[in-house]
Amino acid sequence: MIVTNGSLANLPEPGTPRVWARVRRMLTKSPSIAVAGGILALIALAALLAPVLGLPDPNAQDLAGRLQPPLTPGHLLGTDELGRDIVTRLIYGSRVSLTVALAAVLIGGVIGTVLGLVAGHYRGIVDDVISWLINVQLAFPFILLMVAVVAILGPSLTNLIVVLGIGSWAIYARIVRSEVLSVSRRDFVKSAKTIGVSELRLLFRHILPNVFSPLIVILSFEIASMIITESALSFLGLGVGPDTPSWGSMLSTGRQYIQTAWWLTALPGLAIVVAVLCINLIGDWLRDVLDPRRRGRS
Amino acid sequence: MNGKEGHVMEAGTDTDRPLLEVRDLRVQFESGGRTVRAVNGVSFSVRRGETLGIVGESGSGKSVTALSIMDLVDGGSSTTRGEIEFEGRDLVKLSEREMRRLRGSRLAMIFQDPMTSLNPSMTIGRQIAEGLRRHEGLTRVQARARALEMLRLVGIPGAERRLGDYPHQLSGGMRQRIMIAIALACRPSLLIADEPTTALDVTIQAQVLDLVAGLVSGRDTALLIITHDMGVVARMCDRVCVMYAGNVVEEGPVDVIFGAPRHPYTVGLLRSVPRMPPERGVRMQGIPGQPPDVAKDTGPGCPFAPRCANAQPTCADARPALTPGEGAPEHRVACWNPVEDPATWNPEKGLPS
Repeated sequence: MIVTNGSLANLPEPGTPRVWARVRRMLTKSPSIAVAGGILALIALAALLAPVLGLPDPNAQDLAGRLQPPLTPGHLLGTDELGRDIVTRLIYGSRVSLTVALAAVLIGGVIGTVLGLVAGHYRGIVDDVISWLINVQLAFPFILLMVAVVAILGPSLTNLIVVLGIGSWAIYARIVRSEVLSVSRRDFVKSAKTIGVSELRLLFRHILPNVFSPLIVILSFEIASMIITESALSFLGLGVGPDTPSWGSMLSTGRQYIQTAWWLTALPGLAIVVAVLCINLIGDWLRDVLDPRRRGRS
Repeated sequence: MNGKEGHVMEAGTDTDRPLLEVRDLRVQFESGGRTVRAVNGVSFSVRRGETLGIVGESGSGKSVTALSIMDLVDGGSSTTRGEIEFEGRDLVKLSEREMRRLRGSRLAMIFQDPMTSLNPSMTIGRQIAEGLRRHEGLTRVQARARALEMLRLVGIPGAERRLGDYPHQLSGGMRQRIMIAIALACRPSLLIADEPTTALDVTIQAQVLDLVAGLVSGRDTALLIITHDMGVVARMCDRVCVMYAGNVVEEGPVDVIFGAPRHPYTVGLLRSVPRMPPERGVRMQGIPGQPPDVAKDTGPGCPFAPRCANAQPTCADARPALTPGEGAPEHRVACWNPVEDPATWNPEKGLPS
């Protein structure tokens, strides 16, 4: 129990306060999560505040000062082949990476979760159809599909998000479906039916929270994987347009200078690694916090 | 009784009618091309405030009977026929929507295993409040207050502190108390308890049974107990139905059934109960043979005939109907050759010659 005072009668409606208390306790218990969370918060903050940070234009060229190494005065992390400031481009690039990853995971996650819930709970023909769709989607090479769709629709931020989102629902649907298959057969679902709860409440209040732990973990890993996919697509020239810096496109253009100017590829590569690692760490940790059986234990 | 009157008028029935009347209930499943007849023409009734026990072995159809009253028989491959008249309405004909309105408000059910019957991701306070909010339209705060009241009623110590607990923080006996609180929160007129104490420690069983008995009698709630435990029946029930292979084979007031059982199967069941303290020299008797495979057609005759010591060749020709005994209209038995004197009758030997 996290209650400190002796009187419990005036305990507020359980919910958020206790969750926050748990979060605070976990943070002090596992410092690596605090570090990962801090780094992610910094990245997110920088991405959000990029336009007001007083950074130079990410596309401002300075051909005289091109390929400056890191720690050059005025350019902390150096400049690229067109003399553009790398710090600025990394920060602006994080906007693209994070927006695309979060939005795509949101779209894919919602579609996949709903389809997985429906398939796992109702079974029968609904399940057959959805499972077939999942298998078709998963059998199709993801990158190839992205390449084809972006090639047809043309590269843009919206297209990228929609394509990544719609192209990634299957993994959530499969995880959620397999969890729901066992959860919806459990006794407490039958008990919930005996008190007459509505179908929607049964699905979203009784079944969904009990498949949440694996779902949250998959979601966080998928955010990381979306950052990588976005980079890969940008690397292939199928990401956002060339005017918008992104980690993937920076990697792609830097590749030509890898022997003379390592920082052009190493820095965006490092940004991807750090962001993905932090997200994965947090995903792992969330799984533990969200599992009610582990609550209240150390 | 006062609280119930309004509802009875509304349902348009007079108070002499039973609360629940099941007539010729048949439930069958289709699975893998086979037809499983789980319930095969069951009829019984439960009066207001009464406690009826349904006893039988596993596979006798007692749980399916209970679930079919709630219209919660699993799977789309099952068909339910017959009539289940409850408060003047035939539940078999009700839509899912109408059934959902009755579940939890007029009809409630608790299951065998309290360890798995509560949602592990919801606090128990919310789980008790859920039905109240749905059926009585209470606000969050009102429902919380009622949930607290229910927790106290089922004897949970430190109820305020427990409202925010998750099920894993409670013991099995406590959880079954929570299940009872959830089931009775909206004051249903019928509570169905499917093996309510089977999964509990023996010491807790009696406490939970006493709690249920006290709550239902105080609230004029009828109780339908599904069990295989004759001890539970003796302790709790006013009347009892003995089921075998999807049929009711004997029905009557508990003292009559225990004192003068007439169906060979009932006699066998009662003989299978261990005595405490054990009587010297008395061997506990079982019922020879196995219950029939529900997937197989039992034929036109009495389904118990193959295991019955009293069976005559004619028993296989026609199924006996449930008929009242002479001078005992309440005591009905479905048998061609009922046991005349259960004290001397031996389920392994048969009719005295």
